[in-house]
Amino acid sequence: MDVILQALSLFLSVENILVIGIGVLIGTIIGAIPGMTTPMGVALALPFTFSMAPVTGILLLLGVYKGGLYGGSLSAILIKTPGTPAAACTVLDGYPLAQKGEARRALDIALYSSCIADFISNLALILFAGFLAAFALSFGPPEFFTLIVFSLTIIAGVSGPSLLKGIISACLGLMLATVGLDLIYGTPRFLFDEWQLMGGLSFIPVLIGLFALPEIIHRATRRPMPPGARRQNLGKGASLADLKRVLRSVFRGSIFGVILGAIPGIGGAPAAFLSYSEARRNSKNPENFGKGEIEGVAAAEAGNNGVAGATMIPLLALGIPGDVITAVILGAFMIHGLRPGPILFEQNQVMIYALFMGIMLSSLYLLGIGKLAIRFFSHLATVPNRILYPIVFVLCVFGAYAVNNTLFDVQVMLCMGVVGYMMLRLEVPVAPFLIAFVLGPLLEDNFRQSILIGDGDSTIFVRGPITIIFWCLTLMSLFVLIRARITAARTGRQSVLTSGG
Amino acid sequence: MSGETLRDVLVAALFGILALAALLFLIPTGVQAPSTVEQAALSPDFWPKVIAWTTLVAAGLLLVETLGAARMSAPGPTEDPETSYDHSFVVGLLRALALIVVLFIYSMTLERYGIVVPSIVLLPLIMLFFGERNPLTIGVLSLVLPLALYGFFRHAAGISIPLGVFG
Repeated sequence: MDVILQALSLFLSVENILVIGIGVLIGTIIGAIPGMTTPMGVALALPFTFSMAPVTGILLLLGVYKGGLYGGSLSAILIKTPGTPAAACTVLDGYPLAQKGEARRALDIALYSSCIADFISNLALILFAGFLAAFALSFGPPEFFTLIVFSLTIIAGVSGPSLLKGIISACLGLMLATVGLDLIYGTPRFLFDEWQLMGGLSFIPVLIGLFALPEIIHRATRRPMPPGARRQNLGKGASLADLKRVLRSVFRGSIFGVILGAIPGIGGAPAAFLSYSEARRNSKNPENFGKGEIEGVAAAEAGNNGVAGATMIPLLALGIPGDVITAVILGAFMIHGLRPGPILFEQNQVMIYALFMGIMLSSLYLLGIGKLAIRFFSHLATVPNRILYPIVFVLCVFGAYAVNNTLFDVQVMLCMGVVGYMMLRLEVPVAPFLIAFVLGPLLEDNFRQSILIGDGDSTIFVRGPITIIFWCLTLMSLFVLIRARITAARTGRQSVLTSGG
Repeated sequence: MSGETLRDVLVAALFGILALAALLFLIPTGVQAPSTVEQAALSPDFWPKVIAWTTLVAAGLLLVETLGAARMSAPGPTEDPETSYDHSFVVGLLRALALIVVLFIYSMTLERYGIVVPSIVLLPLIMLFFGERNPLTIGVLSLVLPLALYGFFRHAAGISIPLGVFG
């Protein structure tokens, strides 16, 4: 109790309370700008923390992190331009909702889901840090591999009427994900003397090209709407009934986020896709997924934001940064002479509890600042396409360049735009491509690492209960989806499990 | 042959050819594998080959499915309030191609002229192309947006946006 009171007095200062809000605000704005990534935002904020007290500085970075995770959903929903791979999952249903004139509803649901998931994730960090850290450590490459295989079964669900087209689309995504230097041998793959491809194709230019550009090019096939015609309405915000309807998916997504966030190296994208997949599988309206279903938006955002607090678990409990952002935060700890890990819990309990208090407060800030951001950004949805699309294009160019400071990424974005437009015209679903492209490197790396660890013995993929559980889930999932497709083919009717995408 | 069938045949043929090209040309020339690899599955070309074969099989199956079986009736497209504004297929395709060409020409100018000036030139062209006719809107947005984005990235984010010969 003494420790908590001391922590409270350490935390309760004007600077701490202000700095979290400023962090969340900066993060939200950065997340909403295509090309400005959350790690970039956290890295930019890092120098400002040098002169601050340790708790204040780290809370600023955490605020930017949390705001950035949420901010990506704004541009994803409003202009189909995901700022992060995880936000790409939000596009699948968020943008169709905005197109239907329900932008506010989609944005509200994204915000509420993000806040709830963030809060749950923070609770998990505070209550189960030790347990989750131990569980996360039991995840080796074979467990990762089976988890990703299970996540990939969602491809069958988002392929739309033709599973084969979905598989082809996924193969294209997987193939493009192999571009770059081979991780084990360091030999080139599909570089063709283009050294800028050595690090592989960057996620953001590919995602921007695949989502935003086809929409702009497709617009060229239409006549201009008469002056004065509004692009669409903002619609009403989400109702309590909407929130109740998505609550199960939000809780489920938050749990996925917490578990996957606690595992170093996983990140928000697999959590968002897994959460989306499970929401679709368990939904009463799976046929609406991909066409503007609020449950899809909620699940994606819950999965994405559920990782926020949980990624701090391996960092604080074990001193292991799970991703780039937590690596920057680790840097902030070290700049202030602190080394995260079990010793930090023993020697700096007061500071840890003060941080927990700030983290909890950040969820509230997220709600307030998110509401303000929605009010400000949602007007984008009413800008006529003839003005909005040129603006979005220039924004995409600046954004694609800013990720790696290279004009090559602008070319990549344009090429992916043409690929995306061809896919649109040929009705090849984009969602499987996206999922495979994001998860592909994880799948291959963990597969090959497992083979290395097992010295070629493939039984390593069934080495323990975690791998066996994931294989069972994968088989069950495939069985249900294939049965639904066979039934649909026999009856000549579309199954609810085959019509998404 | 219905439009839908033709489209699926085209997809199958296109991806079948791509998969064959990958297996016969792109992987052998583009993926450098060491002369000795302990496990075949560890070879850098293992994964690309698996993907290419899967694509080939899926494309073949799609072709068989499309040509052999009667297609399920797909659900109608989502009601789009702007459908009535569609150009004819040929005009639409030509406009899309024209836009793609313009965007690529723009991207090729970036190395020499930077991002800001080509964007100031491109913006009014695309706005006119998309049907905006208000000269004030076109003028102000074309000038302010690239400069504002330059200012933001340069000064707030610390990212140096290239100015090319104007820098």
